[in-house]
Formats: sequence, structure tokens, C-alpha cells
Amino acid sequence: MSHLITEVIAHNMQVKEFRIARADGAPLPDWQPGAHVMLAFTGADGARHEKHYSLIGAPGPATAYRIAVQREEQGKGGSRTLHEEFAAGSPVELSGPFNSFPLAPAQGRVLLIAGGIGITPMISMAHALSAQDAPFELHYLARDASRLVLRDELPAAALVTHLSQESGRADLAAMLGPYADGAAFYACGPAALLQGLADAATELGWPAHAMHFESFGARTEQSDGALTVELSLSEMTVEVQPGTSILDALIAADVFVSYDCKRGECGNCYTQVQEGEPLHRDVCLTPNMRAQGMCTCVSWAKPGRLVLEL
Amino acid sequence: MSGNFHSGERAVQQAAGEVAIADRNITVLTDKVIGGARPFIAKQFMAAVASVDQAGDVWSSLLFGKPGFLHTDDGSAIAIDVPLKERDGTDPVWANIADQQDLGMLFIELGSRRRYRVNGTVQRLDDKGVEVAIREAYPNCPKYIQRRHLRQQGSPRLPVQTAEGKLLRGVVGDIIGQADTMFVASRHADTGADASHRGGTQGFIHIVDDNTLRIPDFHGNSMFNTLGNFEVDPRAGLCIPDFVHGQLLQLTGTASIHWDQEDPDNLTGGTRRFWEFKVNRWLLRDTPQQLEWEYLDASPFNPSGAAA
Repeated sequence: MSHLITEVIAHNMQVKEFRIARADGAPLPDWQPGAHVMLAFTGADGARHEKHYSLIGAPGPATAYRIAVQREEQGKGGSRTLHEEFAAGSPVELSGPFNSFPLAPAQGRVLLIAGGIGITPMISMAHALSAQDAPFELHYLARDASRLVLRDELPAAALVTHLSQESGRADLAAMLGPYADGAAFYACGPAALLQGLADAATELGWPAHAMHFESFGARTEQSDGALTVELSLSEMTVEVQPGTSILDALIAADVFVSYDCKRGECGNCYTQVQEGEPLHRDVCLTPNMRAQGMCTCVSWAKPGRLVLEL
Repeated sequence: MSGNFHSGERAVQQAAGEVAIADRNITVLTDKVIGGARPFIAKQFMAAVASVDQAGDVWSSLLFGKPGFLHTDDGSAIAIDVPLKERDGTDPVWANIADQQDLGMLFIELGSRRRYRVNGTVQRLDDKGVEVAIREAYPNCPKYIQRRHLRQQGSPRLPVQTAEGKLLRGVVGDIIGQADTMFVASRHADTGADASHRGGTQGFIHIVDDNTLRIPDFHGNSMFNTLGNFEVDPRAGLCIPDFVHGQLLQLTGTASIHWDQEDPDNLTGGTRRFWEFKVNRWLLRDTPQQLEWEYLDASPFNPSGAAA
């Protein structure tokens, strides 16, 4: 095994921090704000998990990486396995760091927006912005105060908390405000929050390039039914069961498709919809784009015919 | 499979801050045409190609034929069936591939915004056509493609009318000004020639002066194959179609990348990145086949900035 857990710190009932170092004690690669690592580990039940976690703390050189893991009762079991079975000395496989959520040099107003455990990549971004003396706002959304973790890591002057149990759903439009030249926001959290931000920001005149998203969590809903997707150009029909993305079903059927992120963030799988009612779950398309097409990687459709121009 | 980027691509990815995304996206690259793309290629009537002439100048061309003229059997080579009598000798591609084997190809279906990029080397050129051995292949995203259907294609009639020159004036300027679609050729000594598409709102190709074009560089797949090639070898070819009059404007010259430019009208869609093209020579040709196109709509991804 390449790496070992060196320390585990419980931050609250749901969130544990894991510190991970190389088994031989050698330094780890430098990392950038927004970066994540992939952990691979096997539970006592034999189930193997591969999970991506943002690195927390100040970016740069490191002898140990820190991640914060929220226990998900509904998930595939990876977070429960880490919480219940992994302790100091446990071996894990680690790859990375990777950075698909890089922080661009500030050119105007910068907002960091975190929903729940989505706070994790914001910590390194806040450190980096503070080190550059760049002003920023950090909005931290959670259900109640007990859910706010890692507060010691966050700059008090920039922090604004939004607790839905006290004040209801956060007013995303008020948080964003109108777009000003050079502004940018970075948001991480559940897909529903990110969609809400994308919609509100578009309404307020924010261009797509000023919005940066790191999404996680399921995009599926209990009410999703099986789909029969017709492809008008390939003259094929593909059945898609809930739990599989439309894109993955198309790839498995050897359909000619383009894609990159598979997370509804890049728009490269955008496909023209000829018939049907898509349920959009991406965070990258504008209303105009959604009127004509969909991202097959995360979006679904209402029951009935879905005809794609593929 | 060549999983690594060359130094020019890496340099541009680093300057754009998109190294990690490029590393993720290159996983779709293969050394064969994937199964799903083979029937796609076989139904195309058009291919954009990139070739290099004896002097090292780079050219972009568009080839047309009846569906079926492009095909691949096992995905390791692609045949382009343009028989000798149907070749327009004024298109530089034919002399180029007789001399230099690198050929970049882009199979693009404007009507459905689908495209597949294949780079390779010519392994056979005879009276029947060309066979290109594939070096690397990958699907591209649908962004910035304006939709057009081909209503009708005539039989090739040769010779065609041609003109050539150096200055971007008169009818040449008009064709550039109306363009919402163009094709770019670039090359790298190790990885070969590359054919790529660029699209935008009409007027996205700005004429700076009689010798210079300026083109905004939008958000793409972060791999920067074209700009990465320019970084190492600035020679570039453009092919700008005039869909209404059935003409192709082919320009060869050199390109330079301009970072962090003022962009008050948001022409770049936020990248603040442009490239400039210095023209050495242009050719204006009628397409050998008469083509009747129907314009459908602009890409919803085109930056909404006012055209320059």
C-alpha cells in the first residue's frame, strides 16, 4: 500500500478529518487551491471504493494531506466504511493531486460559495486568496450551526454563514448581486444548490465564464423512471435504467458521442433534443441552450418519448 | 496511443491554467477510430483536411464527395475515395500529400454539430484515392458549430475558377466578413498535421489590416492542439467557406497567440485570448461540386459579444 492514514479527527457527528501520508514518510507533491485526490480502499465486506476528496488546509508543499469526509447514510458505503473501519495506521491507495477546479488570478470581486461539506475546496482557495491579499467573500450554507465544520480554518472577516433552519433558504440572488466586470464565483455543494446559483447568476447577467462549479453527490431522483431514448440519426433505440446516465448508456451502445467531464460542468456532451421533456441537472447550460438540447451526462427526462439528434 | 501532449500544447495549457482538464479530456483519445464513429464517417459528404507543402507552409482544404467516399474498415486507416479525374489540381492538398505524408482530418456534420478528429499519415495515394494510417482519433464537442444542411450536391465540374493574392481586400474581405465558420490547419514535426474547426457569430474573424486577421479563442476542450502547434511552429492554414456562393478561401501564413487582451465586448467569451494570423498567400476557388446549403441556426454556445 502506498499511503497510510496518520490521524483521524472527528469535527462533528457527520464529518471526520483524515490525515494521509506516504507509507515511507517521503514528502508529497505540492498541491494547488481547489485540488482533490482520489482514495481507493476496501471495506471489511470486500467492497472496493474509489472516492474523490478535496484537499483542505493551505496549499503548497505537504508531508501529509488532509481530507474531510462526511458520512453519507444514503451513499454507496464508501464514507461509512472510512468512518467506521479506518483509523490511524490504516493503509489506503492515493492518487493525485488533481485539479479540475482551479482558482484563476482575481480580476475583480471574488465569491466563494459552499453548501455543507462543499466547504472543503473553499478552505484552500481562501488561504490562497488571503496570501495574495485579494479581497473575497466566503458564503457558507448549512442546515444549522452544528453542521458548520472547520470554522477555525476560515477567515472570520470574509465569512458569511447562511443557516436554513434559522432563516430559511438562502437568497442566492442577493448573495451574488449583479455582475461587475472581472468578477468570478466558485461554488461547491449539492447539485441543486449549484443549479440554483447558475440560474440566479444568469438572470443577474453573470456570464458563464465567471461561474466555476465543483459538483458532487447524486443527480438522480427517486421519481426517475426508466427511459427509452431514440436516436434519430443513428436510427437506434437505447433503454436507460435509473442509476445509469443517458451518456453512459449511449457509450455502452457504441453510439458516436462527445463528452468530457461527465458531471454537467463542461457542456461537451450537449445534444440536440428533438422530442421529449428533459429534466436538466447540469450546471453549465443557459436557458437558451436548454430550450434546444441537454447534457446527457447528468440530465434525465420525463416519462414519454425522448428523441435525441445523434 | 500517444497519451502525452507535446511541449507546445503543455505550454499553452499551463498559460491557460487548464492542464488538469486537458489530462482528464485526453482519455477519450484512441489510436483507432472507435466503433460508433465508423458509420458516422461513412455517411459524411465533406471532410476538412490539413496538409503541408514542400516549403513547410500549412494549408486547410475542404473535400467533398458522395456519402461513402470516406470510410474505414477496421478503424486503423481511413480511405478518401476521390479519383484522379475528380481532383481539383488547384487545391494545394493534392500536391502536398504527394510530397509530405502528414494529413489531419476533421469529419464534421454541420447539420448535427458532430465532429470527429483524426490525425494520420498518407500510406497510399493512387488514381483511386488516398489511404491514411491513423495516429490518433477523438470526438470533439458540438460547441460553436452553426447548423447547416446540405440540400443538394452536384457532380464535380473541372476546371474551376480560381484567383490568388496576398492582400485581404475586396471580395476576399467580404468572404471573411460574412463567415461564421472556418477551418484551421496546423502542424507539429512529431505529431503531424491537425485539422480543426472554428465558429462564431458572423464577423468573428476580424480584419485588422491588409495582411492580418484577429480571431477570438473561445473555451474549448483544454487540450489546445491548434494553439499548442502554433507555439512550436507558427505556420497555419485557414479555409473559409462562402456557403452561399460555393467558394472556398484558403489562406496560408503564420499565427501568434495573444493572452490577456482587453475585451470590453466579450468577443472571447471570457478567455481574453486571441490569435492573429499574418497572411502570406491566399487562394480563392469555386467548389468543384455545386453545393446547395440551408442555414438552420447559430450555436447557442457562441459568445454573445458584439461582432467586431
